[in-house]
Amino acid sequence: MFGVAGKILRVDLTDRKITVDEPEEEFYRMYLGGAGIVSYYLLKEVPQGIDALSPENKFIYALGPMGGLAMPGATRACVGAKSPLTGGYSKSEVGGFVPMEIKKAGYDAIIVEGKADSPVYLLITDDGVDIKDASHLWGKTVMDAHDTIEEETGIRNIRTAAIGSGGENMVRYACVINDLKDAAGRGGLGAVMGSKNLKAIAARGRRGMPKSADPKKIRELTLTMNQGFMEVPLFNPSMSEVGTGEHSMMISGNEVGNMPSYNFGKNDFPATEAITATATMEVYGTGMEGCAACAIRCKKTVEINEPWNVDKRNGGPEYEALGSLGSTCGVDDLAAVIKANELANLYSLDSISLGVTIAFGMECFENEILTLEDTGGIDLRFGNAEALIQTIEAIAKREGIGATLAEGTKRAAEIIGQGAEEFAMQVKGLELPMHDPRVKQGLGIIYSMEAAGADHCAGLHDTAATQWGAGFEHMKGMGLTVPLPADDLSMDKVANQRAAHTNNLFKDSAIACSFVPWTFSQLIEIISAATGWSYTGHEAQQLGQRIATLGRIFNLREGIDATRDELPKRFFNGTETGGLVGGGIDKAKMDEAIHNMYAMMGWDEQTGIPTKVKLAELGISWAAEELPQPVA
Amino acid sequence: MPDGSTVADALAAIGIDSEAQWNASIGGQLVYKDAEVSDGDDLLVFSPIAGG
Repeated sequence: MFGVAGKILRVDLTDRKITVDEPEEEFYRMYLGGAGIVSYYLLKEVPQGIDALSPENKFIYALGPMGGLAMPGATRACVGAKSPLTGGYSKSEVGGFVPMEIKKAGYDAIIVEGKADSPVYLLITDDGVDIKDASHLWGKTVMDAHDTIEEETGIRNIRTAAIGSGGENMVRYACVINDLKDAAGRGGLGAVMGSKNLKAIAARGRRGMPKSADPKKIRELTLTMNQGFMEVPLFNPSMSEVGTGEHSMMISGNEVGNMPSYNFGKNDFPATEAITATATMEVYGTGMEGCAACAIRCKKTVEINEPWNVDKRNGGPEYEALGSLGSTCGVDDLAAVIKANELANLYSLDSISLGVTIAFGMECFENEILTLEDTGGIDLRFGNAEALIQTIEAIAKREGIGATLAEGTKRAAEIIGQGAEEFAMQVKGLELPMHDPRVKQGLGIIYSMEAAGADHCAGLHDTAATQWGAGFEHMKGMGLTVPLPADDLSMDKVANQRAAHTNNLFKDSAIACSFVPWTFSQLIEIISAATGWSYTGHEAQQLGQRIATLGRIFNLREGIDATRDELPKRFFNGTETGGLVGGGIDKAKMDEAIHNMYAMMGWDEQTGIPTKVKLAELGISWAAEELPQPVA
Repeated sequence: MPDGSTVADALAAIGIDSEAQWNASIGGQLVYKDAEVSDGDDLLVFSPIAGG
């Protein structure tokens, strides 16, 4: 086989047993990698109804045919498990260097099962795979754990995917941190690592990298992207200068109502200019870094000495963190937002769910549902930077109010009661990212129906496809048919979103970074050149539908049905100020769009249950036995 | 600009290609190239708002 190693590492932590699955080439052609592998194994192997934090859950870290190739946006992993946050299907993509090392050690994926009886980490090298004691690492931050592993293994520049105290304490939105600063952020996958006593996966590989079928083509495509990405329509050169969250992007978002603030209660934040990526780099920036072999280098590094100490090794905030830990909490103190982002990385907490959950707490506090007594004296008002930092510390340790907020907004609202659920900005339990579905209404369809919950990487950002022209041409290959206004919810918009959704799931299987402007057809060329198959766009779109359908069935099996495909009530109303005055989503139109999406996915238009005919079309008839059975 | 001018006309007048992918807003509301502009409007033009 070309492009894939043909080996999936299986680690049973209960029995401390390591085995290797060797799937046939047909498996890879059907599921490709990343999200495809995650979705297959989750439905096949995770039993219905288990506690996501029990040994029965499986933690999957999967790469794709692009993994390890020396090309931009290629070194990524898709991490998956049953989510402790949503109780359903969960996956999240991440870059850095770890995926390259695992692929070069000769593995396409790692499946971790069971639970170790004491803390461990996994060491993967060309010499083999070891389960190592991590008792001395438990309690350490991601950075300190990484440094200790590097020192004790003697492997300079070893790469780690690790958790800090957030993961150890099973904060339900704890994440997995690659290389100190890149996060498989969403859904609580770090808590699953913590539940298994798995502190880290450390990897260094050189000799196991599978050959590409057509290395010359890979080099050609790499050169094309490296020399030309600045000229690609839709690519914003500021990505290489300040990364995500550039000044004009955030202030224009603020102008039209796409700058979530005060827990989405408002969407214009007066101090937006103070918390942009541009301001971040001007005041605290030390440089830009990239993932393995990427020329774009969109990752900020920042350093602060006072009033907070921030180590530049831990990376700087992305747009999502600037919004979630900044404007959503009403915090305009840039240094505090950067510190909060660093703590999220050190403790392995998803910056999106963390910020939105604290904002939820703040709104409860402002409405006197939470009191100073409840918060242990933390003055949890919107805008209080000190309270933001104190609360993050409490959450990571699950102390005081932190124990409640560590549960995520949905569960925290159930614990607090008194109408707090009105303030929980989540879908299926996953907190909303920093793209307001009142502005990007098509993305709101995806937030509603996507198996993992409100995921901004799963659909089309409507503002990127509002008119004909070079930008739209760039995206046509994935199946977009007509540019439409951002607030359009017609069947044509549903069609665009369906095409983008399945395209993105294919990308998450390849795995390609969304920030590198590969066209759909270039990605097909890359897969063909890597694997030697005559891979087609049709197969890629089928794969996307296959993954979405497997995720759907996983959720249905857990009782997460169409009634859960719903945005929080807040989004069906406008705001009192800013670009969303009177600008809420029309609920009837959104409901219709969601049902039209079911139909376009080949699911029952009313119930959202995939049909057996569709399963056959997608080559996954085996999944029919996992479908809910009709009530006699 | 003459009466009845559109967003696209206004942008063409200052040399912005109507075939490029941009977004525009007037008074905080997203508008598209065929929207009419009036005297005194603040027309904001910007790149697609995306990013993660």
